[in-house]
Amino acid sequence: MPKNESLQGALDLLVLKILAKRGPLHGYGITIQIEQISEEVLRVEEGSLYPAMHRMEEAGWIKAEWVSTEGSKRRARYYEITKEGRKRLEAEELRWNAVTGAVSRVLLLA
Amino acid sequence: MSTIGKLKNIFRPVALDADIDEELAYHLEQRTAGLIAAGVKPEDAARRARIQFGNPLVVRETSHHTRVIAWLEDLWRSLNYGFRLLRKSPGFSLTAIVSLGLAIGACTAAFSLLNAVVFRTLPVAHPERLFFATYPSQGPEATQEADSFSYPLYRQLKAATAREADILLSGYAGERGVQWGSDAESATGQYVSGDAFRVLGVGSALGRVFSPADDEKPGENSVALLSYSYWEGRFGKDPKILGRTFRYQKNSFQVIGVVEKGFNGVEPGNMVDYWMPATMYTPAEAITNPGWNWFRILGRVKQGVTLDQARQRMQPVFSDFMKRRVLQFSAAVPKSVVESLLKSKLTLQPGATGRSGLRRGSQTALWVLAGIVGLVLLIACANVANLLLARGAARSRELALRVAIGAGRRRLVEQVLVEGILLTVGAAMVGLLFALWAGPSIMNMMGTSREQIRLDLSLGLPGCGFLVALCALATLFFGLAPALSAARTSPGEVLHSTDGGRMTRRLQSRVLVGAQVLICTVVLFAACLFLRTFERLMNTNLGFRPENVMIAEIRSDPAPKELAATIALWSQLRDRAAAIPGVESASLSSWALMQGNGWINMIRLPGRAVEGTEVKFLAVSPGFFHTMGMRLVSGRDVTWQDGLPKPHTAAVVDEAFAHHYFPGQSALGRRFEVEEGKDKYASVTILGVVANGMYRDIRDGMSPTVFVPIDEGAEWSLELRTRAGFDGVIPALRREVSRVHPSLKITDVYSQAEIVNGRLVRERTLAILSTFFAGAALLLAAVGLYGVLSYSVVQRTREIGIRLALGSSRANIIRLVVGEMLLVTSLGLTAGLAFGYGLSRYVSSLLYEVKPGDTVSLLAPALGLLLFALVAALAPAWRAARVQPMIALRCE
Repeated sequence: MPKNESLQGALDLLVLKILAKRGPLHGYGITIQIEQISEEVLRVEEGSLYPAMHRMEEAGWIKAEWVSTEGSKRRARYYEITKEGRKRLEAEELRWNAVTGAVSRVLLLA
Repeated sequence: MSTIGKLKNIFRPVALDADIDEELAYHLEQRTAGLIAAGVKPEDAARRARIQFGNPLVVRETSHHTRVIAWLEDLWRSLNYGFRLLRKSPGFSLTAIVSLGLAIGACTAAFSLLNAVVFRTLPVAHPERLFFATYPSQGPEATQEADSFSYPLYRQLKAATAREADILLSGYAGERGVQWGSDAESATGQYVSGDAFRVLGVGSALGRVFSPADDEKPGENSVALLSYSYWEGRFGKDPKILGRTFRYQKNSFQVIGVVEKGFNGVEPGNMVDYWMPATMYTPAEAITNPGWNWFRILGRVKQGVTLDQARQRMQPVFSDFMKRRVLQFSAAVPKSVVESLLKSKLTLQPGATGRSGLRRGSQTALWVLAGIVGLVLLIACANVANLLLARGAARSRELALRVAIGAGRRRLVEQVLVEGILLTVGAAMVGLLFALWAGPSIMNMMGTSREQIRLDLSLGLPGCGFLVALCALATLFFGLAPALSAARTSPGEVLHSTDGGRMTRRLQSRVLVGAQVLICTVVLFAACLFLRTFERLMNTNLGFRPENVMIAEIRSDPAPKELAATIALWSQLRDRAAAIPGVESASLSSWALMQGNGWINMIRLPGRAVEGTEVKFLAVSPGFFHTMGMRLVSGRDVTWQDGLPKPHTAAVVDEAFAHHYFPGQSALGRRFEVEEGKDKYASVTILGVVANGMYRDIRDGMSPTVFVPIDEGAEWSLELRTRAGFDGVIPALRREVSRVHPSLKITDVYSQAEIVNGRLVRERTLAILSTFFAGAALLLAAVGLYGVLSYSVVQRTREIGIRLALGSSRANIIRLVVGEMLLVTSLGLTAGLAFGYGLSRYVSSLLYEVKPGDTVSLLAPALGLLLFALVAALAPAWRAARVQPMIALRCE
């Protein structure tokens, strides 16, 4: 999955940010949020979303809980950002801004 | 998720996958609903949702791996798989676990015995600086290492080495029965010097230990210490024990303390229950007479002082002491003895593990036992290896298939090893139980009802460590070959041809079986040697008949003062005892034959110089020879009157005496002189001659013995020859004894046969144990041989079919199978006999009248093994002969 890995940093960042701003959400909800906010520019590759979230869960950045949903016979797994996750988000955001800022400067000044 | 969560997930792999699946299914459902809402036709929506999502199986697999500890999950799977395999062939599993378990358990038991007797360091401070003093002493046959010293010498050595070492005194631990209130009971007591516990660095659990002040005035320090185990076992750790008193002999001792847990004296094999100050020794002469060597001397060198420096300080004191000692000797003491004493050098032996008679007597036997059970373990391992190999071969197609569809070789090896570890864990549990039972059982076998051995056999850390290490080694040993052969699995070869790898496997298992036969031969040979030794000892002519003889030890307290009164009292008792119904005859002697005591005196012949002036003596009453079944060759028995007015003036001698001192002539009526004090001799007339009898130990052989009439002694052994048994006799005897005189007390009752058997206890133990393990080895080797032959017949079914089809006779086929067996067995046998013969000289000290190269002991294992091998080959040969060529050729 080399393609996913290259995007992984961004995916983690997006998931953490959405969970931090919008509160507990299930996987499908996160997908929808990313698509809507980015006005369909960013499309999450759904197959890699779940392993990534499970990995972040292992790392302790987010935690999950089963919730019964209205109108559906299935339970949904809701994710919530943890304290550690917030710290991580802060660091990732700084790094991302630094990188994108640098890229913009290069594009502007080269 | 935490590590614990990851651990939990390993044990719920199915539920974990269901969790993931449910989450993904929810996603797909929601996506489908979203697409429908956006106007996609319902029949297309689900398909598009799935396409957009990708392969859910891959997602699940990736997620699964992030949510478990992968290597542990693999291991768990291997374990599960291994369990299922073992359960599928319970016969194999059970045989392997039980045979390995018994062998591992026996090894652990042997280790715990060796540890308790030989290895374990004493629980004292700085054991590495502890020493025991010894010196060479002229024994009856060879120079021995003596470790007994007198109290006066101890004082002198202690004073001389105050700067180099702390020296303490320790009596020999022994059965010294005590009386708590009115309850007389047996206990092991020991005399020690007042500073002993301080020097050893052993403290108290309750009260205090001895101080030098407790050991100053002879006879006036009636204090005692109890060991922790005695306090725990006898008094349930009652704190009120302090201040209580018990009686030992004539003294009453007050308990002033309980010694630290774990310390039971410095003599492995004897666990001391209580200690008394050395100056309380009774009789008091024990601490004043420089000739009474009743103590061991031990000590600890001070920091920075070597053993040799301490020794050099002690040697002049020792030499001076000996010089003064020999001046007291009578002229009859041989010059050589005097000279060797004068020249003797004191030695300081490292004493970290204590010093013990048990170690000296049974160390070699214990090592031999450990060697035998170690060999049995090797055989058991070879068996399991063989069975695993055979099964591995049967599964080679399965393994090859798994490699072909992508299983890693590492997984396959892990699989085989895990299976081996499962077997070993089962075997370790069986072994632990067996060891906990066998260790104490062997200890009890090595002791007798009269001389019990007490050892701390708890496994502890060293024992458990040994068990674990042994299991690891065993697993490696029997698991290595099968694991390697699994690692070599090459799918192409195995799946294409039916012969791939088979030759090496067959060679491997033959080598294993050959090794089994070899080891089995060694064990059988050893067992034969010990059995023959025991049989020789059992069949040695004792010169008396021990069966149906009961011994009662009787003391008269207070004893009559006059010799005539003494003799009147004891003759009355003898007559009353002889009249008890069921008693054939009765007699008295100083002690029972072969009971362990001895009385040796110097004699000389008037006007003649003779060689060998030390002779054994025993005081006996009339009727002794008759009661013991000793044949009077000529002359007459002693009478009560022979001992009056002076006891040792007339005597009966044995044939060994008569032949040695009066060769070729009648000894009757002749006289010899016996030493009565320094340079004082009394004349003795020979009344009769009896046939030779064993006096103290079977290995001593027959040596000149003199039987004198009884004297004024206060303690005698009463021998009763009974018609049937002792049951009715003992109460009757008690009644008669108290009726004869209230001063008479029975202090002990036992049978003469017990005494004789006690002398053979080491040989019996070795014979029984080695025979048992030889049987186990034989059985295991036969099972191994049978397994390998059966398997090889199955494997060669096609070959046998072809041979039969080409006109080979069934007799030829049988010859083929039996020939394979004979080749393997005879090679192993020959090597085993050579090995056994080479090893046997290490056990020669344990043999009696059996040479290490004993023919019978060499032939018996050979015949036994061949017989067993033939039996093991019968069934496979029969099956080979019944192979139907058409079926055999068609089945491939």
